[in-house]
Parts: sequence; structure tokens; C-alpha cells
Amino acid sequence: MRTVVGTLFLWLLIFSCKNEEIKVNYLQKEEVQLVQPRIMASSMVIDSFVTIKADRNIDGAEIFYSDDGSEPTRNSTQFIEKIKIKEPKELKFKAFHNNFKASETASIKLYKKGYSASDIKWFTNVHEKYKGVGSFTLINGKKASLEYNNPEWMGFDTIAKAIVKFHKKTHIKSIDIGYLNDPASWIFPPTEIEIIIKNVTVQHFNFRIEPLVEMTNRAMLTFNMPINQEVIALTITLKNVQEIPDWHDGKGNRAWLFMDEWIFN
Amino acid sequence: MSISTNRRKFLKQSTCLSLGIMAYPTFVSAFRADNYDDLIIGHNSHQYKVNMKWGNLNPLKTPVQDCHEMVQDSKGRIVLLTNHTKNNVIIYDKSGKLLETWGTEYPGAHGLTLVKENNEDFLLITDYERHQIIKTTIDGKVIFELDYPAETGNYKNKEEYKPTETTVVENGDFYVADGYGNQYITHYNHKGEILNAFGGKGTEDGQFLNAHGICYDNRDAKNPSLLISEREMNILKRFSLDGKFIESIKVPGALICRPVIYKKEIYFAVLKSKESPNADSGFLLIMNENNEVVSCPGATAPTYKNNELKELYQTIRLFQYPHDVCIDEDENVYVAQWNSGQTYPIKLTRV
Repeated sequence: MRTVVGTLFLWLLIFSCKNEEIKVNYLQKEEVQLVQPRIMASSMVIDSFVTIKADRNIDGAEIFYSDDGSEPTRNSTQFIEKIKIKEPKELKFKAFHNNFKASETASIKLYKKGYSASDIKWFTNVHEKYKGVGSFTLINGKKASLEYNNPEWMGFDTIAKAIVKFHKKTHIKSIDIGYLNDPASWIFPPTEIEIIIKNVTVQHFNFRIEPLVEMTNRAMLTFNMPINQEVIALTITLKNVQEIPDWHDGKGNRAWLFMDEWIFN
Repeated sequence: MSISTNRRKFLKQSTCLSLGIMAYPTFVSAFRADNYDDLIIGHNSHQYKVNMKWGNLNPLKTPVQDCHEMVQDSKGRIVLLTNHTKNNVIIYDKSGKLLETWGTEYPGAHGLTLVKENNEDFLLITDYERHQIIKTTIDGKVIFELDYPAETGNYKNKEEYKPTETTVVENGDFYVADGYGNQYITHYNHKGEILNAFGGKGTEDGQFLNAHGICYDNRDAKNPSLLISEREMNILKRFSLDGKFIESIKVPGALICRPVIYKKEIYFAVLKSKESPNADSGFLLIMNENNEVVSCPGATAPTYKNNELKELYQTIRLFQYPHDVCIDEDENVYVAQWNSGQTYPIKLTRV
């Protein structure tokens, strides 16, 4: 009897040890991905140079970056403290760690300062809550941040239409429209952009932007429109998403359109 | 990992080792523990291992939509509130085993508060779609339903009232935070009669833009007060029980949901980081008895410069949109998440 009880006790102990290990089902570091580095630029519009800083986020993580459009790897240039950029380009950053999955790639596009417009007159109303810093917000040479509450954003829940004027006739190669992509906050890219230039004749330029088909990360994006024209004034009209698609919680509603800067190259 | 944890692990493994001589095959898996590289999140005194499998259920039988809030009842059970109307309330034991479910009539089930009266447990549920507060027994029988507080004059119609949270004080009085509506805090006695209302929408100290959570703070028994999280503004505000503003505690970058006090600490689910490329950028936040942030599981370590907390943000893609925390007597934390792909709560084991 004593042997039976002893054996039973032993097996109970064994079982409890094993069971404890089965219970220890904790998440492993290798299953977890780093958040992409936070990139902070002194400006996104280059006058002479801009300074870029990036957060390392977590002990042991290293950031690598590329400036040729390629995906950063551990063989790319390592980011240390800060970098100075003088020429417009796109930089891509990625965080790596020996124990965690590498982050997604964070990118930032820097623009050369464009021609300064002298005036802007709005034909449609910006939303009361997201007025930017005034009617000149989109031509003041300042970019916003990823946060839609940043005062450099102008938010529209209708069509946005304005006329932009220059002091003198200026050759404009292209126009960059800076907008916010934040579908989780119901902020979508514009669907259509129309530019009207009145010289001797009236010229129309129409652009369509591919609609979003799935949820995407927040990003500050740019739509570049080549026009190659002598311009003294031009009218820009942007259409917001009139019906949010079915894959989104806000389906059927109008989406927001947020813009921070129009750059005339 | 702390020294005490290492010692506990060593002792357990020593016991297994001495027994393992006789039972080698059974223990092969036990010693694989040495190869584990468990994720440990949090800082300083509050660090945790993460169990993603806790409380996972068959979504065809017991589905969740948003997991909004959790409380632990007097029997030690974990009570989850979801806005899925097949089973608005899901009750687990601490191991994550399903015990029971109830509730099919709370489409906007959001706030969940445990009320103890004469050794009996009750629940206060806020439903922002029904624009009501509902008091139930712990097994789901309705005690009362409160409509929008028309007599305060703060609301033209029920649609302006979207309550998000309640809190109860010792004498049975309770307060309702209208975090998705007109932003008033309405004070009731235990019978549901209105005593006071304060706050309202605005940016003044005594007003709110997103009064999402409210909690009775009696850690200082001589000066009990109310803590109210103004989520969009990343601020925790303290008010007297009669609605006078006392102070603001800033938590830059953290969209804090309701404060949850356990012992001397305040715990928060942080819905998301203010500045983060991915929208699903939540984490947790823990304050000590001096209301200083001491740990941010899933985010940057809290650091103060000239008494100002530096901006906090998510560092690993672990939490999506944490919406509430529940702390058990072992100081483990259960995390309910909003808009996270109908996932069940996550359990954090303190190390």
C-alpha cells in the first residue's frame, strides 16, 4: 500500500511539474515585431538643409536606412543620432533587433522648396474643426505631422477648391499635393484632382487617384501632377471620397480629405 | 527578469530534476523551458509575461465584437463586457475557462462597473447606443434602467447622451461619464436620483473633450476624489466629489481609457499612441501612489525631465487598441481590446 501511495505521489508531482510547463505558454520575443522607427524632420521642405532624427524605441534595436528607394537591410547605412539632408529625396528606415522581428519600413519624402504663391482664395469651406492656421495653410511652406490634430492640416468633408496666384508669370513643372492617409480615422486620399490654368486658352488637367482597397497605416503622402506651364494663377479642385467602401467601418459615409501643403516645383 | 523569479524557477526545476531521473521522457518538455525567450513587457516594478491564449473561446459559440471592459467579481471570476449581442457578458475563471454568458440586449455595451451592496454583487452597464445606464444582478437580471438626464437641462434629446463609464462611492452614490456625448458628469444617489452635474464640452480645466473614463479614488481616505480620463487630450483630471476641478495630470502621447485603481496604483489601458504610424498603437500605463508613471507595458519607458513626462508611444506590435484592464489579487492584468479583430482578452502575468 505504501508503495502505491508513494508512486501515486511521485506521479502527481511529475504531472504537476509537466503541467506547469504546459501552462507556461507565454508569448516569445521572436513572435513580436518592432514598431517602425519614428522619423522626425526639422522640415520636410528643404530650403538649405533639414535635420532628420529617428527614435530607436527599444533597447538593443538598431536602425538602418537607405536613400536610393531600396528596402533597408542590416547592410544599409546605420542611423546614428541624426543626419543632415540637402537634396530632395526619399529616405527609408527600418529597425532591427536580434530577438524581435524587424519593423515595417518607415519612409519620409523631402521636397525642395517650391515657388511661393502670393495669394490663395478658397471657393469651398474648410471644416470648422480643422481650419489649419488660416487660409494660407497650404502655401506657407510648412508640413504637418501624422497626427490629424496637427494645426498644419486643413480638413475637408466636401470638395476643396481654391485659386492660387503668383506675383508674376512662373514656369511650374509640377505640383505636389501633400495629404494624409489615415483610413482608421476616416481620412482618405482624394479621388480626383482638377487643375485649371487660364492663359491665352483655358487648360484643364485631370488626375484620378486609385481608391484604397484595404486598411493601411497612417502616412503623409504626396500626389505629383506634371503640368509644365507658364502660370500666373491656377484653380485647384480636389474631390474627397463620397462613399467610404464596404471594407471599412464607416462604409457609405463621406470620408475626410486632409491636406498640409501644395508645392509648386 | 527579477531575482526572485529566477529563484522560483530554479527551485521548481530542481524539484523536477530530482524526480526526472526516474521519469526522463515525461520531463523532456519541462527542460525545454530553458530555450524559451519569453517576452517581458513593462518597466521598473511592474513587468509582465504575456499570455495571448488566455480566455480564447470558440467564436462560433461565444463570439465577441469589441471587448470593452472587464471587472473581477467577489467570487474572483473575471467578467467581460462586449457589444456582441449574442452574449454581452462573458464570465471566466482566472485560468480563462468559460463559466457562463448572458445578455443579448446591449448593442452599445461599453462601461462595466462592479457594485457591492450587502455582500451581493451588481453591475452597472453603460450602453451608448441605448443611451442608458442599466443596473443588473451579477447573473443579468435588470434592477433599473436610467434614461438620459433630461432634468439637468444639459441634453435636448437622448441622442446627445452617449455614456461611457460609471463609478460608485461607498454610500451607493454613482457618477456617469458621458464621454461620447455632451461630456457631462452626472451624479446620482443609489436610487438613481440626480444630485448634481458638472463638466460639459470644452477646453477649460473643468470641461472635457472626451471624458471617457471615471474612477472613485479613495486612496487618500481623508480626501476622496474622482479621477476622470480625458482621452483625446491625454490628460487625467481630478475633481472633488461635488464636481470642483482640482488638478490635471498630463500623460503626453497616451490616449488613456478609464483609470483602474488597485491597491495604491492606477492602471490604464491606452487605446493608442498619439503620434504613431500604425493606428493600432495601444499600450498600458501604470502610475504609482504619487500619480507618477512607472511602467508602460508595450511602450517607451516613462522618463521625466523637469517634472514633465516625455511623450510615450508604442514600441512593439503587441496590443492593438487596449480598452480596459482588470487586475486580480495576484496583480496579474487582463486586457480587453476594442476593434482588434474580435479577439479575446490578453492576460499578463506579473514577474
